[in-house]
Amino acid sequence: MLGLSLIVFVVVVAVAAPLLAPYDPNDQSAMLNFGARAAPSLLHPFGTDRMGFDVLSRVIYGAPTALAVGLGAMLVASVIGVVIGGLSGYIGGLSDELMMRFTEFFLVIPVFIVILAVVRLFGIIVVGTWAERIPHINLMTIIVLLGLFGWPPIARITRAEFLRLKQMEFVEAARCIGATRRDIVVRHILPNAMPSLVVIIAIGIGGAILAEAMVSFLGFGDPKAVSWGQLLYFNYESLKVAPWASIAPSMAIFITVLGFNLLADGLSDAFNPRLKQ
Amino acid sequence: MGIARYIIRRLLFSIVLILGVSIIIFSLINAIGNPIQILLAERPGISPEALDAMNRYYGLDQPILVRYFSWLGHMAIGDFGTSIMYNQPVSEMLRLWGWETLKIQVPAILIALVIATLIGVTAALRQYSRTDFSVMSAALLGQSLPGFFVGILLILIFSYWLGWTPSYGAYSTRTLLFNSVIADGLWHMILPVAMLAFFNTATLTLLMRSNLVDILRNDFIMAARASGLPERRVVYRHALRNAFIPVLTYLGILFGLMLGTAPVTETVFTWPGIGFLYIAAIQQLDYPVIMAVSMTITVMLIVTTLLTDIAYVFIDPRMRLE
Amino acid sequence: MHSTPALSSKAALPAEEAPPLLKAEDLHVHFRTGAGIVRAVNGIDFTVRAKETLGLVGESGSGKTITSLSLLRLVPRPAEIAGGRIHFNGRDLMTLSEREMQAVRGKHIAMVFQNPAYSLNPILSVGDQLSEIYVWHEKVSRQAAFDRVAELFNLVGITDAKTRLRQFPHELSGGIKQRVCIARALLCNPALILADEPTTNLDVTIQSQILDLLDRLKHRFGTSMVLVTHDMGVVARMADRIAVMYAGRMCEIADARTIFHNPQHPYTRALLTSLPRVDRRYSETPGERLPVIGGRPPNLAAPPSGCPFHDRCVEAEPACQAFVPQMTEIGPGHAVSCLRRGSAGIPVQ
Repeated sequence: MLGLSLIVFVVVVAVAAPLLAPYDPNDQSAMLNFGARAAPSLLHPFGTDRMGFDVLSRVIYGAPTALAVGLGAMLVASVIGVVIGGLSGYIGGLSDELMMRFTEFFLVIPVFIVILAVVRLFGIIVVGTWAERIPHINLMTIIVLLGLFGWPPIARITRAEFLRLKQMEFVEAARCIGATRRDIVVRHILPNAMPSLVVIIAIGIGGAILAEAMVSFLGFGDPKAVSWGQLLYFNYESLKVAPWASIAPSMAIFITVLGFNLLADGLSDAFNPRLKQ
Repeated sequence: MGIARYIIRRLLFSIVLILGVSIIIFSLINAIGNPIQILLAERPGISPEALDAMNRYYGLDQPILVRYFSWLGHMAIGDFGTSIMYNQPVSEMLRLWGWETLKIQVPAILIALVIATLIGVTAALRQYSRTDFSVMSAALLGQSLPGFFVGILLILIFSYWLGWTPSYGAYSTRTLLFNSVIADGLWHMILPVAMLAFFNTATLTLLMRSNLVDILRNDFIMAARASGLPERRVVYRHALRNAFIPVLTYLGILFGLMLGTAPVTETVFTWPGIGFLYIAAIQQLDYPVIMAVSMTITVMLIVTTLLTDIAYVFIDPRMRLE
Repeated sequence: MHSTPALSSKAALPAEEAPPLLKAEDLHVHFRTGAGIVRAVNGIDFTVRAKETLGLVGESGSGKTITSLSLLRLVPRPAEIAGGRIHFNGRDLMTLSEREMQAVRGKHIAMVFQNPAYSLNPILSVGDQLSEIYVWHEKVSRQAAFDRVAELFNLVGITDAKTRLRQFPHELSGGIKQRVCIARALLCNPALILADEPTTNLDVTIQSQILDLLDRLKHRFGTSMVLVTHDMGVVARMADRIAVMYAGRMCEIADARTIFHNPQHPYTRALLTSLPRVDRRYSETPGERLPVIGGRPPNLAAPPSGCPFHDRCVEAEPACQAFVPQMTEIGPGHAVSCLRRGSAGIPVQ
């Protein structure tokens, strides 16, 4: 499975970043002998960038950031989405109607546009407060925002699955033998809703990574974090003279997003017995 | 009648949505306090009188609720206030920059629709063949290719290496191509439109193909064949029409996605559109523009959704009962 | 409803002298799957005579639906017609070009499908989709086609035809939808109608109306019919002759009276004895149980060797595994493929 191997590759790179990267991500020593925007060479396989950083090292150190963004954002989104979608699907009635309208409301908001503004405004609010001292507060803001705006698809799927599963015979049976509501939801419904949830979450991880890259590319990323989008932001202006510094991080984003999309695709095929034959 | 009631209900819900978003945007902007004060914080020399005058000029001396309703009321009649960084009416700026955005997005989606239909039909008719497999793989790959990456590659190849197209802007700054505004504009549009069309084509092709494959399995398709209708007509008149129904909804979603990520597209190509304006406004804390652009994009999104919902009713007779 | 195989008077009418309208010879349909070739239809022969109804009977998976589709050369992928000849009106349909075949479909041979809910295009009005077919075949104006459709709607018992024409499938009941489908089949006055389980998905009361309708129209227009069904009650009521299929092969063909009164193939017999009868009581005590055919329908990807029915057959003998029985005439118009009835057998390679 290509998707899985791509993801394993990215994870391995992320975990082993200090071992794999030829230079420290903050090492600008290349400035001295190679200069900025040096073309790829043996010592700097992906060249150096506008600020004299080794592009390969920066790309490698961008992997843990990307995974943290994807997983963090989807963790937030899943908790909200599963709770809202689950309540909506399990209880039904008026609360369902309300929650679905609420979800619909979130679906029409131009998420990316709002996130851009909020990241910037939050940066202003934070200045001079205790929050400023939290490491990577900007990156964390982005992660939480992506989660806060990313839950509607998860809620939709959860709701649909809960609606379908709560009428299944094995749930009826569990109810008949006196299982508690909690038991039914946690032990019977949720595990069976997992396949669909995993697929949508896998897509979401890729989406969150891409979104962070775009936010950073536009210059609203965390200046202290090493991220692919950030790398692009710093180097896009010199695309003509140092294309490698833009292509390498773009490629990294592409590979990661592709990995999660392919994984989602493969999983949904594997989980869907109708397509197996 | 059913249709009229449905449309009115959707319309009312859209208005509620727009009001909700306006509250969110307004509160966000005001959460940071007085933007003028923040903007001028770096310039300590300014006198308190001048600050008061500016606050009065931008209406910031009013209570917050009054400001919200005044903003809403003015927006309803097309008045979005005055831009701080350009000192121009925002509505005029929206018109100019918004036009540039639509100029690349609308052609992109139309081109994508045509190409996706052609490829999707070809693939669906040869389900599980090598053609089908390659088309599917390419589309899946294309869907995961970030738009800005496509843009970067297009610029590298066609602008820097081949030198065929301009790499930035909507018009040439010195001499126009063929001395014609239209030719020069079209020339500049090629790459941005290609980038947007690329992404949309990938998504729409996948959707088109899977819909068609589903529809072609239906008995009514077999019945149309068994009635002696030629395959061409079976596919184009009977299958494709049905397959288009979900695509229609998706067109709305895609358009929203394009509008929402316009800042990225327009930054890649330094395109003077609404997204580029938005980025500048955020950097400069030009809050009338920030609010106006985000509201405009939201309203466009909601209107698109509303239009696809309504179009649905006219295309799919099954919707008319509910 | 049709639980008792009581014979109608028509079933006794043999039409042997009439020249056959359609003659299928050595028809093969293969599914190419990852696991190899599945022979869904494995060398069958049958004829349909003018103005007669041939009942094509078998369990689900026996290949009867595929057989009827193959007569129109419309087997869905990944199936394909692997061989055979279909003589119709003096031509071999297998040799026709696709374009010539299109002129046959719907005009000379028309089909009524199993589930009326799915066999009409949901987004076109019924008038639109029926008139389209008539315009295509008869090259008449749209208005003339609409008039023709309205006329047929009246014939198939759809009242208020003018209003119905503008309606969409979801606005019609199941029974009306099937009447629309029957009208569609009759549009060009075809010589042969293929009816694939036309009543299976309908309410019992409507089933009877639809069967009556088919019978009446067939007599009125002198149309032949191939009636594909698993319901012995339906064939008893409708068919002049009956062909019994099992695992893609023909077991027995005879006129309806012979099949019901003198069945020869053990499978035919088993089918008939497993029919519940109104004049008997059944219970779970041995001897009062409704007889069933033991075993499971064969897996066509790995069919039993020799006679495909041998592993479920009460009369099977060792030879049945070693020889494939061939259809052999054992009486006038009565052919059977069973070694125990004296059919010729081909040794299994």
